[in-house]
Amino acid sequence: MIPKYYEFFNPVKILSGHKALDNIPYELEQLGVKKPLIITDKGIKKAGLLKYVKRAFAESNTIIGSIYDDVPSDSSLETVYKIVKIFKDNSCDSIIAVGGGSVIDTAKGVNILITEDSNDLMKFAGAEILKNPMKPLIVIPTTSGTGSEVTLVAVISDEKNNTKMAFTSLHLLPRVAILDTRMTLTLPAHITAATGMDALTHAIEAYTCIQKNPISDAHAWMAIKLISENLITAVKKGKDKKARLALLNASCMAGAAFSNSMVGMVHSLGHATGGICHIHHGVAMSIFLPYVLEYNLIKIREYISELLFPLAGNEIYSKTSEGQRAEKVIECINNLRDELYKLTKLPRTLKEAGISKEKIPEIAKLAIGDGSLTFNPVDMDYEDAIKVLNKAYK
Amino acid sequence: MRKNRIYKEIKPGRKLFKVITVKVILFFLGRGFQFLSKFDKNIKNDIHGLPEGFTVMFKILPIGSKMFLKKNKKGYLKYKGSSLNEKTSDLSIFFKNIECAFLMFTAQISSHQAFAEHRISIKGEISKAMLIMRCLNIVETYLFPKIIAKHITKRLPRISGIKKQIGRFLVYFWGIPFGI
Ligand SMILES: [Fe+2]
Repeated sequence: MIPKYYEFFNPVKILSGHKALDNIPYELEQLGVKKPLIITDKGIKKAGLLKYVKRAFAESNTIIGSIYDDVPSDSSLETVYKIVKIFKDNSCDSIIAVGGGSVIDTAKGVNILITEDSNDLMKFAGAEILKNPMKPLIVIPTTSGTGSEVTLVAVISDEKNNTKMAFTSLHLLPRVAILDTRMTLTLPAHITAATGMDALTHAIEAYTCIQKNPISDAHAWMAIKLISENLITAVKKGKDKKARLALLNASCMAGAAFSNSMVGMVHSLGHATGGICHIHHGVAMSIFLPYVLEYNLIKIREYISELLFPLAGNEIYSKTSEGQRAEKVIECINNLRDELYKLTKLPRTLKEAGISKEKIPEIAKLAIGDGSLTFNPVDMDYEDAIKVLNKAYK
Repeated sequence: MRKNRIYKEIKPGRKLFKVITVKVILFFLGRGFQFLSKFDKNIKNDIHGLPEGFTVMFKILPIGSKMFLKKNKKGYLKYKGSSLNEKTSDLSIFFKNIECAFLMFTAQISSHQAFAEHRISIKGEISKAMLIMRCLNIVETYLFPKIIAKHITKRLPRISGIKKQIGRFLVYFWGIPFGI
């Protein structure tokens, strides 16, 4: 089905492979820059992943401007300001972000301030408002979940005012994304599981929410197939290069899909739960995904049914009668969650995540005000939210 | 073949009908917004959290009309026409072109659809913009008859028929003409 009107934009060059990093100097040269600032966090430094990045510069004439390795787990305004200063002091001309969502968001925030030559990031909050092309940004993801290497959004928290500001602009899109297996081989099993479920949710929501379109559908479809075929393997055998590369590709494609088609109610509930109870974003996605699909079923049975093919494969798809496919999709997702619970104790319910029942009204209130609800095919009011949250509790 | 053909510049044309329609509707929506921010419980609830003096601008890009709403001491949104300075607005909602403003202001597409289709750009907090656009949809359901507003009412709180009729009557014969 083709919508009356839609937009799709993904200009990011993607390099994928076991040693894809080795092309960094060439890509920098193509971008016309000579002195990148590397932004990363302590965990990545500790895991020894930076050595692969540094080694990629050997035998080239490109200098690394500096390395900032202290990005907190929630991208913050203060960190952005600190990094901008380092960028200017060392006269860097481009950015390489090595990390997960918060590192990448921080790098995007830094890029806004440098480009606009300003010291007040909040002035630029908003959607599609930035006008100037930014410094070249190369992103090297170290998890396979957020898909931030191909999204046009950054979320930065302002600790002083206790708010989170969102920035979306096509100029925020990185120029190059490098999917190098070596960067995720050491990712612990439970994080692999949680981030994998985040990517799966991105793909499923992109495929079922109101701005679905043929181009993002294609991305989402393949992402779902790769995740269902490889997530369990990567969780069981972290060093499996094939599975790791598949998941990196899947989260990247899911990112491109939802960056254009947006996400829905799983994210509304997830953002609210994360905001109040501070659980991992991927864990929240995994908890709510089947309940939200059930909730949305009345409106989008057809789309959910179609997903049985990439999710379960040809055999199960053709064996299941048309009227039963949507239910089977939910069953498959529940089976996947059960298996991940067995392997890594990934919570399947709010209770298993250690959230107290008293928090439900507060979560519901926050969830119905969340922006991503706008794109969900079925609306949700306070009572609806309470019902879904209670189901997801037990 | 003709000799010396002159290649002239082509100036952009006009879409006067749509420009004037949008201007008129902006006035109705602005005054309607002001009145309903005192009358409708959903709008009251939604704008409750905005700080006093909070200013919203709607503008049609690149050179179209604009309209300001400002939250006053009494807690409702005052219609300020196009009298304020663009720089003073806390939240700006831009329609990328006149066609999209026309579709939205004539209730042919809802705000969530306009967002999803990238027809709008926002300066300021995106969550606040969503809230204002939702209120705008509610205002439209009062102003327009059901048959026109059917595209936008789908995801809105159900307002009882009688209440809507009373609201509609008051908006048209009291709120809009007198700027109450
Ligand atoms: Fe997510």
